[in-house]
Amino acid sequence: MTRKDIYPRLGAIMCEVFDLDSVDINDTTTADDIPEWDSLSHIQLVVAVEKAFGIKFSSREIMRWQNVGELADSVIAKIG
Amino acid sequence: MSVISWSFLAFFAVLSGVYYLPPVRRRAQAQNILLLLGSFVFYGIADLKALPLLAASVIVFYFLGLAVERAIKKEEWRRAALLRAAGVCLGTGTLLGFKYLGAFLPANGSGTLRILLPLGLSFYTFRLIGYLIDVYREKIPAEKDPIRFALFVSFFPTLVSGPIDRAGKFLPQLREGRLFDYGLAMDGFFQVLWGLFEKMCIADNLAPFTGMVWAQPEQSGSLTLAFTALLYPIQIYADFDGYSHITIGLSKFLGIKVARNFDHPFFSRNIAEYWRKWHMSLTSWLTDYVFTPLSVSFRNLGKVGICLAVVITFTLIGMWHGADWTFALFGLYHGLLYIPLVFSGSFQKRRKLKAGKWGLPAIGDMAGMMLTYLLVALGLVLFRAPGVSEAVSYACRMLAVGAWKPYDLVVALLNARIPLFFPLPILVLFLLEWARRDKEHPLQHCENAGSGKSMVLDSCITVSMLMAIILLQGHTGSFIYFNF
Repeated sequence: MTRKDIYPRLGAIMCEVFDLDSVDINDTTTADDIPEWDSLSHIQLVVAVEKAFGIKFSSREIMRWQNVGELADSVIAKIG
Repeated sequence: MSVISWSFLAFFAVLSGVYYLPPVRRRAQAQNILLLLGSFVFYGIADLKALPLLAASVIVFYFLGLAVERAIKKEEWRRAALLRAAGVCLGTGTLLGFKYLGAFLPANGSGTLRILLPLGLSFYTFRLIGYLIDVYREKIPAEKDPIRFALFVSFFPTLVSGPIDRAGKFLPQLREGRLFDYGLAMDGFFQVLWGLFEKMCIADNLAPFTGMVWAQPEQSGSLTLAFTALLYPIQIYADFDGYSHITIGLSKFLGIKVARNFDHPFFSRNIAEYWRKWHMSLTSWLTDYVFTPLSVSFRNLGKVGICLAVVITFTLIGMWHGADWTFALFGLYHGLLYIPLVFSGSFQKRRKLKAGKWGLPAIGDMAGMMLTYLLVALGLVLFRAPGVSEAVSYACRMLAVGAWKPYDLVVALLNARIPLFFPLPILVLFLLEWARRDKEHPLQHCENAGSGKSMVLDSCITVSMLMAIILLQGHTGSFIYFNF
């Protein structure tokens, strides 16, 4: 599985959490690119991703993500 | 050495004059060494006894940063986490020791140990802890150049009272030599002028009146107490925002951009928006290093977890101000004000402010701003009071609307010798901030820097601001946030 396989599902989760009609994400997308993505909605995004993929991230993983690509990498590593 | 003094002006003039002289080769290194020496001279003059602590902190965290990075590269996660924890404990331990030890020691003839709080300790400790955590989280590489690292920690314009810069944004600016940028320098100059106007024409004019009322509140009438409580947010804002503009402006003159500290907080429509705009460098620091880790840990508790993280973070913000219950309750009060916003979902909503009729805010927005201002003013009664019982007594008396007597207020204003024009600079502050709310400061206009048109405008702004400062200035006092 690659990052690109994950993006459609991640994009749908982001639309729901950030209350957006559509969102354009790629490897380098960060919170700075989406005004609705702040410290609080970030936590809601983490919870929604964990629930959708049935996985659990460690605190260190969550703190280390610099962009959507790294978030996708963590998901891929968990679901194998 | 206060930033508002002739001695500081002479210091800054000499330093900035030499600053742009170094030859092209090794310009960055020469400028960094000069700024570091200047920072240590500045700090040594201000608080010589605290200089060894600053130097020791720089050395310890420089090596800790390198050690954390080395452990991460070797994938020794436990060792990296231990080193980070050691650094965080050392920083917070030093800070808590100095801030709180005095509160538990009996006062002697010359006061308690609290008076010995090293100048700027909170602000440079936050910079150090943030740096170490960012290296641990692999957000930035450890800084190898000791001069650059020491300058990041002790950069003199922001050393004493912030803004609290982040290593990831500050350090890269030190890697290249800085050439004189006329547009940036002029923008910095105007920002300094605006800061001086806020501090000298607003904060310094209000300080004698609020100081007199707070010295003996039992001798003032209810209306005077309410009026003072309403003025205090403006005073503390003009004082701290003024200071922040001066330091940011001075930094721009040196070709360095530092973090923004305020974004017109009195145009906030709820308390969450207010804290996104007030002392932003501290609140964003606490968001990244306290609120986010807490909310990650509590994430399975849903909105209750968010409320818990908010309340803990705000109580810590309050306690950071000092070892008094009033400060802890001040933080708790703001944390509790968030709870309805979290449950209603308006915590997150960010609506851009739009002008309504006659260019003023829409009625709904205005009502939100006024309510937020009243809540902030009420919270500051706790912040300003010497004790909890005094704060409760003050609040009860000022809220007794039936006992409001305009005559008392007039007498109090005359007794304090507050200048009769005092509402004028406040009006200028609010009107200019509203009109220029999309700018970093109201005098910002660097689009045409260097052009003939700009020269005329620059001269007009300079002359009118200097005239305003000379004519309207109060008695210059120290900055409120030097105490924290």
